[in-house]
Amino acid sequence: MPVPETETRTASAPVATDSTVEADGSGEQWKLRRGGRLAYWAAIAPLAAMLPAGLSYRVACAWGDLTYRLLPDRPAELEHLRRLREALGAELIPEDVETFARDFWRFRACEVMDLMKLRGRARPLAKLVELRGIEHLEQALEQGRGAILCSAHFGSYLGAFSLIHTSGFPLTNIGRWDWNYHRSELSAFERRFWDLAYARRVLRHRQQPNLEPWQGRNQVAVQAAAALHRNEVVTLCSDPAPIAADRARAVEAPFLGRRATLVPGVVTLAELTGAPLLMAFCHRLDDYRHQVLEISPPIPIDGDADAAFERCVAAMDAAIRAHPREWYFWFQRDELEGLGLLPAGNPSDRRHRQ
Amino acid sequence: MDDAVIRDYISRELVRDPAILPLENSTPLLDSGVVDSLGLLRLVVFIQDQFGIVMDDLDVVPEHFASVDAICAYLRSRPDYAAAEQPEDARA
Repeated sequence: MPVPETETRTASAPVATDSTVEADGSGEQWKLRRGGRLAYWAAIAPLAAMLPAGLSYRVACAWGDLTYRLLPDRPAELEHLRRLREALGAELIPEDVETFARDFWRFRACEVMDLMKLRGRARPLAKLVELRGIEHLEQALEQGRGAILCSAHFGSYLGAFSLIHTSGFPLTNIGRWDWNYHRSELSAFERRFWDLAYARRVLRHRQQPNLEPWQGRNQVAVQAAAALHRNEVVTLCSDPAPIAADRARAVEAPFLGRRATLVPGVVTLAELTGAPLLMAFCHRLDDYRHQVLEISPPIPIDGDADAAFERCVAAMDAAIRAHPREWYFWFQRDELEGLGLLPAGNPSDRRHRQ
Repeated sequence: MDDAVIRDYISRELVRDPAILPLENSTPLLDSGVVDSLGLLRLVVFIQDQFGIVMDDLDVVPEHFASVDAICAYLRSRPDYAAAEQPEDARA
């Protein structure tokens, strides 16, 4: 797989949130987890998704608990969380890191269930998600320049984007499918599996396939601009660490108590197209099955790109602080290091950043 | 003349590594990474504003933006650009 070239790295997925664990785990444990994950996606979750929501998400939570208990190197992962807590402060990660970690895996399993409930016109999922601030999106689109929704690898963001599309707002996402980062490590069967089990479900509720900004795909921003020109919605996540090719245009911004390194591509796109830029975050309620998707009013840009991007980052920061278990990157050391939230560690951990 | 305008814009706004300056008209822009995805969008917006043309996203293909020479060749192939190039008295 070529080295990604442009600024966004948005389509991470529940399938690989434990990639660093896999890298460290033994071969047998890794195979077991990989097989279990396939079984969950292929059989358990699709069948459970047919049940009433309360039961579906109970199954998902049970699977999350199992995933947590079978973490190949659980003590090391918990120690990693404790170190993060020391580095970033107790506000983000509670003292009871075991409960935090267990919930993290429950949430990831629930997100798979969300995608399974996108069947048909996504009504099974739509019934469980309260949309707040949709009027901001409607008002933004009245200008006729489209709208950019910026989010983070946070909560069930892909399912949320699907619901926005099914609510009557043609939507295209900029982002790379997670499994495309390590295609060479996957068999043809596995690649096909993720295309069918994951991408197909999501893409049914998109205006066009994901715009994946791999190296050589220089038209991505132009295609996004064309979608905005058609007064459609473009979504992307702005919280990943910059890849090597993007370091030159990365900026530092206050994020999770540190000066994090991020790429302000979302603001550049908004400036070049004149499209309003809104923030969107989806979080799960305590019953695990209901969610709230909140869309903000437009972020003021006012010709000051740096300040505008800091506002975006501040919104991501606030969302993560309010619902820390929803953020995908707690166990992805490569992302945390790339962002500058953790000191650089063992290069073997950096599976995504080659 | 137009090639100088385009080259200057790329040199000023898009080039991040000064070591590759001065830019030649034949310097690969996309393959070398001088122009990336957002850089290409910037360039398209600049060309549209500068030359008063409207480009369809289907026209934004690598062949048309491979180098300054390629951009100029593409612009010359457009009827609206040719019309804009004609002197006032010739158009009358």
